[in-house]
Amino acid sequence: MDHAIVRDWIDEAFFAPGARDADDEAARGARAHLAQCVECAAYDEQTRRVALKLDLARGPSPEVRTRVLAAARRTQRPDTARQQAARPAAGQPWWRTALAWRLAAAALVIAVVGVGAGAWWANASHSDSDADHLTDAVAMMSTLASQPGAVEVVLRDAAGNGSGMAVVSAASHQLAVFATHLPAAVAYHCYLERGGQRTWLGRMYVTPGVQFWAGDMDAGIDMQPGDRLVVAADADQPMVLSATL
Amino acid sequence: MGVRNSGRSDEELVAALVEGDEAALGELYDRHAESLFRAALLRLGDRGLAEEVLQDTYLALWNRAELFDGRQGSVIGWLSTIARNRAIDRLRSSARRPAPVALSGLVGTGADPASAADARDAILAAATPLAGVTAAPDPEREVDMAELRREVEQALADIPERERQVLMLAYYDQLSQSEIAARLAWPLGTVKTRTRRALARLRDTLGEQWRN
Repeated sequence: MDHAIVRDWIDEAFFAPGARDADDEAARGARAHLAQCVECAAYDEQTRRVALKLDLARGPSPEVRTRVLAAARRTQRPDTARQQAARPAAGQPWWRTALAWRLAAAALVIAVVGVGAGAWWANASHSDSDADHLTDAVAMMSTLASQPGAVEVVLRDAAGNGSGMAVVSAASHQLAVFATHLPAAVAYHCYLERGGQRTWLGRMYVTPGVQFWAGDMDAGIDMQPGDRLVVAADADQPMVLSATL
Repeated sequence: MGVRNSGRSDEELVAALVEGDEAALGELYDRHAESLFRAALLRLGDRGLAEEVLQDTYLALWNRAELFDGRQGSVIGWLSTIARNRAIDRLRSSARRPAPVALSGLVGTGADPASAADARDAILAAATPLAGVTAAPDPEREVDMAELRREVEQALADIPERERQVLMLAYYDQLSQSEIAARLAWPLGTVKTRTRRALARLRDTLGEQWRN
């Protein structure tokens, strides 16, 4: 592998989280070259120092705080749980119970579906089962969120605005995706994107105000940290929402 | 002891955590997450891993708050120890990962990550005190971070606007070059060229060891 190819790889890895640790031929070749080429190793260190300084100056992503608080909410403190077992009705915040969580989620569904429902039912080209699917999808989301190792991400548009969320469970190999503020007239799809390549996950269901998809991922799909979850109108179309897992 | 938001001390917030007070967790996050993240990032050299360490540290705090003993040390000292251990765990499990880059000439660039990490401890002592050591404000460190931010801001400002635009979309927003081309209505080749140029400029300005 010559110097130019390795330096191209270094430049590309600068913009692609996880690329440096990839187990593909290019990454292996580049790592082997860097181990023995002083000039390219210096180029690599310079490039990584740029990334380090940018990241230090920026601080942690706001999503980390959201994830911490969401995980804390899902993971009731052991001693708090014991206290509540002893006093099931006393002092227990309503949002802490799984049942209340599901009821709240159901209320959300009802509210979301309820808003504009008249217009939707009048114009709906989709079957009324989409609303049923939404209820199921929200229930699945709450189930996935409680599983060990579940990952929750905020979906953002190109401008960085949060417009949805997704929960991925490696344990059950399932995924739930919810997007808001997307045009109802357009059918969107969910993709897993790695190295610029997209793998189709599913076509999103449409309800007023919410487009969503939830279910089992195909056995061949192997989500990894650094992969991107992408919502787009088609595989070749620009993403409208995305999140890095 | 620095106090923000509610006026409660760190120790009072940890006591509230034991009672299941989620707001206390958020307040402790707002106070200390940035310094913990920076320490983890310097140790690991990987933003994603540093964020994982940060998340793990706060979840450990949430789950084990009752173990904190204020007589043994400060809350930030305890958090720093948890974060340090989590970071070391990740270094050990990432055999392929190269040694973190040296930010400053004060830090060695040896290939052994543990050695580099130990060296960084000397610089980050105030941000990563061991348990039992009371964290004290470190004005010099704050000045250093202020200097680094200025350096980064200046470096970004020195990049021509169109190159900076594509760099920000690619690095901070993690858009692919195809997505950037579609969003800006530029030919893909133009996006690639400007991305490379922007990175080359940053390598010239930020790629050298830190002046301080």
